[in-house]
Amino acid sequence: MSLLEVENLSSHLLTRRGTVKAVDGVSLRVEAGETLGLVGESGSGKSMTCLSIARLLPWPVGRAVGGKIIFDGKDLMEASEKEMSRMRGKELAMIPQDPFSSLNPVFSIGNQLMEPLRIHLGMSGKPLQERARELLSLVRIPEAGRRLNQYPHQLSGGMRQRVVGAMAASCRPKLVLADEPTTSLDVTTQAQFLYLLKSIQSEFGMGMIYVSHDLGVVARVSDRVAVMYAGKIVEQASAKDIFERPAHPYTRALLDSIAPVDRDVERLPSIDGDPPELYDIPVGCRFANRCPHVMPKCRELAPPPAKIGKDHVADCWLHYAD
Amino acid sequence: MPKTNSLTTVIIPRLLQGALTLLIFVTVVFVLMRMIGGDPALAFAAPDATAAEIEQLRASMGLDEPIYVQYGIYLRDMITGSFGTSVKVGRAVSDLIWEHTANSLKLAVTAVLFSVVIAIPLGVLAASNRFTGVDSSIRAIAVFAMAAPSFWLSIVLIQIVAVGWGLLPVAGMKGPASYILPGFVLASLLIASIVRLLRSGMLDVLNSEYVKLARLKGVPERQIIWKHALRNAIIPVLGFSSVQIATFISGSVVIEIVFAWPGLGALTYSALTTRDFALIQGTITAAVFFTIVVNLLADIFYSYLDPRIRVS
Amino acid sequence: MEKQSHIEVSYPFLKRLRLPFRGRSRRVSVRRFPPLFPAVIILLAVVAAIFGEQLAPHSPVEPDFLNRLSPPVWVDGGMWKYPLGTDSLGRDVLSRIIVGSRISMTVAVAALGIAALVGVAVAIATAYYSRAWLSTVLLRIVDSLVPIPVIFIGLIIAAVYGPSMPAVVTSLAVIAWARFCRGIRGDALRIMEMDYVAMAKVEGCSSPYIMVRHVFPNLVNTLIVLFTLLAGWAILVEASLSFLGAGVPPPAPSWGRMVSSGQDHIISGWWISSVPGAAILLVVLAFNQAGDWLRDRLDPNLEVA
Repeated sequence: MSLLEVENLSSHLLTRRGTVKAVDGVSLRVEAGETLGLVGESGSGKSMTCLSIARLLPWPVGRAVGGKIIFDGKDLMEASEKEMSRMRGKELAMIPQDPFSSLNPVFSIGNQLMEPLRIHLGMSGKPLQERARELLSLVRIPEAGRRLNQYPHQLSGGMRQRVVGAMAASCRPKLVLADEPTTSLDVTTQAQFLYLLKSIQSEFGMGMIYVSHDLGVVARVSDRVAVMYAGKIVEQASAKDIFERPAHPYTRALLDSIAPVDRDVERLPSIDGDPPELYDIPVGCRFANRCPHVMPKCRELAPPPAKIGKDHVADCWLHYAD
Repeated sequence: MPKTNSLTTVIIPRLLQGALTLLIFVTVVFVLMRMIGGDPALAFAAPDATAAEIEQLRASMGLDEPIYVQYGIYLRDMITGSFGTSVKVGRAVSDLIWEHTANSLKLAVTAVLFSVVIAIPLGVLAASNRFTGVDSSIRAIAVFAMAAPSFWLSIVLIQIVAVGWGLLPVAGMKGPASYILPGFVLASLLIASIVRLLRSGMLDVLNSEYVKLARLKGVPERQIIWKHALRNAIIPVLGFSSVQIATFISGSVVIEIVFAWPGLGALTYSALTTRDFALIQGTITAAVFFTIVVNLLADIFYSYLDPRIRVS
Repeated sequence: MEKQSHIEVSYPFLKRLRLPFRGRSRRVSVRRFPPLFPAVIILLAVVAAIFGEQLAPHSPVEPDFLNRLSPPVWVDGGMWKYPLGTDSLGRDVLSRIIVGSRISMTVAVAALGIAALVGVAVAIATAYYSRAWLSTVLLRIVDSLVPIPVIFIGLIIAAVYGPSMPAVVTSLAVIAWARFCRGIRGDALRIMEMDYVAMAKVEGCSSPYIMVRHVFPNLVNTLIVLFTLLAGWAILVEASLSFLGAGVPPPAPSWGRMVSSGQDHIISGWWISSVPGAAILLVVLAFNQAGDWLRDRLDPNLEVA
């Protein structure tokens, strides 16, 4: 059985202009110790998928509409808030996007780092201090003892993100939801952080969902990749398959827009047009109006998932022979 | 060196500003009393004073000197705190001021306690029940409390609680029970503003990324509100309220009179009604001095509350 | 019933959406029309201030010795002739409240009018000549005046010159101009940075012309908001001074003194102080609410000193 199995998950946001179907029938799975890369443009519903799994939709506008989230044999959609908060941070951790605003400015690093250990593992006193210091060295923060007493504003962005990473790993969770954890870091810091994240993951054997809009980053960290477009997952396959045999036109377009390392190109192709507004989703395929291979059928009926190969599915009519 | 840093950047400019405020105020008082027409000696003399008595008063007030000399003498008296002797009471003005200030201080401390004990839970309650009936009733009470004149609130409370129910003393400073009504009225404005500020501050903080991360860590909701959110939201509120405490000094004039409280405000008022010249100068200078000191302490307090300011 | 936990989490994406409820952000939903309650109360107070004697059912100063301490009409022994009761001299409380509105309104308008004039002039001038030493001095004075308790100024002036309307107006204006200046200066400085001010300077417009024609019109919104918010404060101060006997002297009825005169009749005539006090409360509340609404509508970033 998989560590996480999400089936047909839907989450809506109620806004003035209408209901935003931010997550619309998403199904995915993560095996223990495996990394699933979740890729898509901003606003495609990647972060909302993560928040839905953590059952922390924005209040009061977010609504979990339906679906199943089987985590470690338990359906999170049926879990009470109490059960959820016991699970968050212990079995299910999250690394948010922005290290600058994610740490509470009025508490010391140590205080915040020790919080999950105190709450979930009931640690206190000397062992707690010791564990916090270990965690900081785990994420390669020197002078751990001194850093514990410092406040977030005294640390650099990269260091803060590593603290957040240490916090997520502190209770050895089974699954980490990393929501674009490197977007606000510069390139070198980004690379260091990714390396660190992977090494902690393999050391602790955690499953991970790595959310990013950057296919290059996803290629480096993921075992499997899910491509998300306008609230739906359009293609899901092993990382190798995604990059070598992309089956959905959107995935191909995304790959074409990455700068190749081995040769110079004058201009990178970009995808024309905009994704559909999420409160006004057209019938048929959501990518139809930007797709180079669009057929009349695409505008009438949304394509069901087509099996391309072993563990490789894509929602596209091109793969149906008729 | 953090200490020298905050001393030079926070405290010294505030001290200078405070000194300037005091100078401007005593100058305004001086100008009001000597320059804009009218004879202060006449104004402060008893209605049935003889010409000789007025002349004597004029000399004792230094009014026969040139105006700049008068100003110099006046400033010197203010700085040394030698306000002379109260003619009407027959005691040194500085003694009277200290006695009454102590009583006012007791009332102010009561009011601060009331504010903290009442306002912080109400503000947190409103924020954690945002957009519900609890929230709107708390906000409505705060809005009314901000507009209610303190003398009216005092009288209404005396009518209901002291006279109607007979629960608390009507007036005077006799025992702990007599502190409750005046302390509450003095606190009412501060309670209202703390509730409003704390509520909106809590709402901002409850929406922040670090509260989100705390929830993701599995911190229980109770701790989210009382530890993570309150600690952040309370910093600007405490900063603001410590400045507001300065308004206790002027607010207490009315309240001390209604409740017959022997404090600085009541002393100032009786000095004015009995036209006790030396006592007026003394009490008013003291009141402004305390206002400035409270403001100064509030500024320093505020700059030490926030670790971002404290450590840097 | 879906089992959504009621937990609030921010999400950057939401910032671009318009949220369906009030309160999250002031800018999101500000009512276009003034709230009804403050508008009605302020209108009533203004009408009462102007047409007081014509509207009042009785003379506000003429005693009716046969009907002293008559309670309001909803209390046993009350009569319709005096719907809000009479005071210890038998004067109609309702009529005194109606006519008394004039003192509150006149003091507020006069004091704040003078203060606004001075405050705006100083704010514009110090922003325009921001490097002049005189500007620095003036701004130091403003900072010094803001915390000074206005009640004390009022008490001193009343003690020296006797209680009078000009005394109350002066003491309010002496402090209020600094508050206007502080509230408006930020805007004035911002406008000085605008290209059209630089253009006007290049075109050779005179300094007074630029200050009056280019800078001032941009400050009007903030000025209106400040005026309304400070009106509540001015009415409260006037009432407090009148309560202390340092306001407008008798026989003119002022709300603060009406409350004070009822103090001696806490048991026999609770309405004598409660009812005029409620009038002060309502009017101050109305001005505060109207000010908040105007601020949200015209100038959401303003902070009043």
